[in-house]
Amino acid sequence: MGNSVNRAWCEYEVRRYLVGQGWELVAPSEIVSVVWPVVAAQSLQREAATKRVQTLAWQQYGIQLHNACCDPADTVRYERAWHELRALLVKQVTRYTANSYQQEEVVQIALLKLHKRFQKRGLDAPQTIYLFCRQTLKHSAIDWGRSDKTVRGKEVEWDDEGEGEEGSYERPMIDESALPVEDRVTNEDTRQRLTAFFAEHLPTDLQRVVAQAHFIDGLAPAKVARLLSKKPHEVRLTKARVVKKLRNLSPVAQQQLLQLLRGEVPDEG
Amino acid sequence: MKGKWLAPWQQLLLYMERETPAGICLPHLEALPLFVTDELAGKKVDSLHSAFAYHLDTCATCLQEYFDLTEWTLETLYV
Repeated sequence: MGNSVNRAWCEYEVRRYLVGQGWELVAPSEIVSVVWPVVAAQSLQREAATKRVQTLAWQQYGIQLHNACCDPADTVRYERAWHELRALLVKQVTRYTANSYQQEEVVQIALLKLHKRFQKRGLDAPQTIYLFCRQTLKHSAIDWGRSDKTVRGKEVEWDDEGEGEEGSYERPMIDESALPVEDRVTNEDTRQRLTAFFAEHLPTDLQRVVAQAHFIDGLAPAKVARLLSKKPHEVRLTKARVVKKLRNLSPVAQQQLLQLLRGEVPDEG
Repeated sequence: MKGKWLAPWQQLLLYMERETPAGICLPHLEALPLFVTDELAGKKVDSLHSAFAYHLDTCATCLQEYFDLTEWTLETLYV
């Protein structure tokens, strides 16, 4: 098959992917019929095309799975769909507890929530079903943990209505040319100190570059991604690691950073 | 900083200083699965989900949730 990206290759990749996931509800050919036209139009190299195929496959399969879960009239598909969802939850619940009794309880709670949710109405974005189920499982584990400790916690009513609004993403940014000179000098001083701080405290080149580009130069993740030839989610994940690292610094280092960010004069000695 | 100007590093200050109450985050967290799904599908999420993208810029809790869900998706749904 070489390195070419063609329909035969796409069929092979989809089949391999579905078998690897243990998903049997939808025939691979149905997924390929949606995935291939999208991939064919993008002229991707093999590695990028593989990722694209897998992304489209889980999202398209997710839509079919969701629709089957919401259609009890088609008994065979309905039962198969819920069987697959249960299998996913059983596999994932081990992340939250090693106790088999607790695992079963948490899975049951999650399944009940999902049944209730899908009976009421389906997801507005059915392609998100796997992520929605993961979040439901996570919150079920939290709720179970609370009830087990006889602490009444608020049960999270999980919904998917937050579909986001289209609009411009304008981060409030400074217009340096409008600032007095002394503020521009202060900004430059802060930039230099922050750069040095990141160099000292962030463990990888990528984290330092992303921190500089995002928190000093003010570039959005998508723009940083283009500059670094990465995907936006890779930059956002790196940014999350940077924030976690900085929030977990020693109290002394955190204080230094806070003073820097607030434009305060650092303590000497 | 004077007035209403917001330097890029002030976003980091929000992450460092602010503990967002859970009630504030909940509606944003409901948008998280679609945000991650669309981002991995190559959509321009900064404009498609601008409110959530902006919230991610200010809330360390939601940024961590984003991290957890995206990592989970990459580990579980990609081979």
